[in-house]
Amino acid sequence: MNPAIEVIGLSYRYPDGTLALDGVEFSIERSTSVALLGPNGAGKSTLLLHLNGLLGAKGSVSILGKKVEEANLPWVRERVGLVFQDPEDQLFMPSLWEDVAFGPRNLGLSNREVEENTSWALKVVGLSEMAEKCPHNLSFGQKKRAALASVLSMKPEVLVLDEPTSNLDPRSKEEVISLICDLKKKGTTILTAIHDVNIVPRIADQVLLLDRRVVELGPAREVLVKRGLLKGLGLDLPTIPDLFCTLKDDGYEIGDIPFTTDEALAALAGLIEK
Amino acid sequence: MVHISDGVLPLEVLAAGFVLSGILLFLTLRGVRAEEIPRISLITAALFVASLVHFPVGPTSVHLIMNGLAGIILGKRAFVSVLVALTLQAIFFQHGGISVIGVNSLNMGIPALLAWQVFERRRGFGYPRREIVFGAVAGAVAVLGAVLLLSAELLLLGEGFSEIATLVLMAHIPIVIIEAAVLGTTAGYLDKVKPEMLVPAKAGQIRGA
Amino acid sequence: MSHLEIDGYSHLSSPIHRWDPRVKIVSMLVLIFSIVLLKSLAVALLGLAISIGLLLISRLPFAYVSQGIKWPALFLLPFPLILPLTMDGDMALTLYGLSFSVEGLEQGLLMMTRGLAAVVLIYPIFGSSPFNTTIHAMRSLGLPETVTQIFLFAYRYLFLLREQFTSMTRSLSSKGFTKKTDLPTARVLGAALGMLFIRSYERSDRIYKAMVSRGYNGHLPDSERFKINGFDLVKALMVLVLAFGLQGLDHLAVV
Ligand SMILES: Nc1ncnc2c1ncn2[C@@H]1O[C@H](COP(=O)(O)OP(=O)(O)OP(=O)(O)O)[C@@H](O)[C@H]1O
Ligand SMILES: [Mg+2]
Repeated sequence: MNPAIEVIGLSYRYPDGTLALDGVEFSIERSTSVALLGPNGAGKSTLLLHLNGLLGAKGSVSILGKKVEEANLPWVRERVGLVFQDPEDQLFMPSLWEDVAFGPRNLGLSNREVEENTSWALKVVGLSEMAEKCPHNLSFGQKKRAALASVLSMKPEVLVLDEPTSNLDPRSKEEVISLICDLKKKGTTILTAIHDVNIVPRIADQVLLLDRRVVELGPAREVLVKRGLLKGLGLDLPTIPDLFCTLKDDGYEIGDIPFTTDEALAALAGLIEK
Repeated sequence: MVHISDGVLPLEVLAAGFVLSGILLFLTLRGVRAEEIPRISLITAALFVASLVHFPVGPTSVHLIMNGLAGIILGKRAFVSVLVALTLQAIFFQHGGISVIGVNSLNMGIPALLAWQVFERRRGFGYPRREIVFGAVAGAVAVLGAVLLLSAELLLLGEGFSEIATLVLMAHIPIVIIEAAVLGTTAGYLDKVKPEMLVPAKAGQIRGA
Repeated sequence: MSHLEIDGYSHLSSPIHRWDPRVKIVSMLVLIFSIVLLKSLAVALLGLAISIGLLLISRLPFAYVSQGIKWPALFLLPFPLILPLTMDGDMALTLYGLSFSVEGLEQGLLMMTRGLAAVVLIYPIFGSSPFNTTIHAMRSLGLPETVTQIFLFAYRYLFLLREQFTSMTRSLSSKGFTKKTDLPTARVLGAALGMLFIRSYERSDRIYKAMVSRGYNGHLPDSERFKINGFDLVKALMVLVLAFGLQGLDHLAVV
């Protein structure tokens, strides 16, 4: 089967001369969840815009086997849901309900289907009560989730998220994380640009390191322990593996590097026994 | 201040205002492309916010009008922008009124188009600070035009109104000067920071053919 | 500036709130036009009374209305003050060498009354439904689609831009900037406004991308469905009778 996302030789230069992407190549299998990591200005947002055909450049992008080009744009946009970094940009309609219904309506769905998808998406993000509110009057966390709902209502096969958890309080963050995990279980392909490395092991199977070009793409547990590589990009290791990598470097005997609290507890217990 | 209120103008003028506004709206909105719609909308919102800004004049203050700025950013699409901003003002602050939306749109919208044309003339000049100079002239033209149209309409009301028309004209002289100064700076600033906002008819640009 | 919330009381319940927005807008506009075209001061005062009556029926708080009426009152005030001095009239009366014409006073008061009556009506019309509903109603009354969209999006982002601009000016004043009547003030305001417009412009680009990625092609599917019932029409009939009644009385009074 064709990969969900396939990018070949992608370069992009903004009109003001900034080279944001320089020969990016990678491919993502269907039903995988990938975290996109890179420092500020690495070109993450720029790359994500290409997946939806919003920017066109040198090189090629294919979605589910179809090339992203003028003739395929409606097809691509129906299948790739893109959630923007700033929810204010995404919530342009006067009420939350209308915003979430905007995509399904443009897909030409029947009134009933529009209604079903919209109330489903609002329920999934926990905003059913807020349907009639003006996006402006939502809290920031609610806006972030609303932006997600406005894309989920189109039931995309590929979900592309630009920093879905930034600036959220711990509870809202948890809600978004469990939402992503649910979607992942249902087989949605997910690509998430994210700065919070501690979340990555929970939401992603693979990690894509970007710094204008692809630096690394591999299983999360393998990439997230490459200290030199991550530090080179100015990125941190997640706290738990960071700690255990340090212990390992100091000569302690540690098997597989733990990522979750439970794994860490088990590893610690093992250490103490010895 | 430049808005005329409900209850002053006769039927003929009100009707002419709506008819001419409708025609101008049609002409200036023809061929509008999808990507222009959010841009016109956001500039309209910004225009509305700008008109909330007060500038001190001695002990009192005046609020900015900025129809000229709409002209130099949106070109011919400035007319719909002015019309929408004015309608919102009429509804939210009762500046102007419902029956005079047509007239007020002409009063502010035609000078906005004029300001755009004046600003376009800068191209012939090599002078490095031309955006500031032409921006200031455009700002003055836009307000002066609006006030002259308003005064002319008051004169139409017949004998006894010429004093009021003169008064309105005089009261706006400080505003003309202020708008010229502010718009000159704004245009210079835009030219330095984001010159494409001032660029005219070209593929992919908002000005339209 | 809290006045951006014209529809802050749209959740109240009154016969006007329950009126179908389209029927309401059309009938009330007819009434506004009828009032602004009156020629007799007495009938115009009756029109003002009717406007206030409709405002009372709408149950909108008076305090909130009177705040907004200041502006038009200020614009209209010069007419009754100046016209008596400048208009000729039969029954001119002279005081301290100035001649006042009763006709001028009448004309000025007429304009002021008509204007205030029309302004008062803005509240029952636009204060009794959420503003977005009003925009949708205007669309189904024939407002062109593009203009409808500009209304919707401009209204949506008004608040955000105002907040951005307020925080910009706040940070200016924390750096010691105070407004004066001079060129430096114009320069600072000019730059702040430039920034406001640049941000709006850049945001509009991002919004357009967000729209397109969800299938936008310049059109907005019409979503709002309005239903008219008998009560709506009865209310419309009553307002129209008032509107035409005022015109009838006016003819009688002027002839
Ligand atoms: N509209 C634009 N015009 C010009 N340059 C831009 C534009 N948008 C982004 N850039 C530049 O392109 C580069 C990549 O930006 P991008 O937003 O893709 O980075 P990012 O990885 O998403 O960063 P962040 O983590 O801060 O969101 C940056 O150097 C940025 O300054
Ligand atoms: Mg980014």
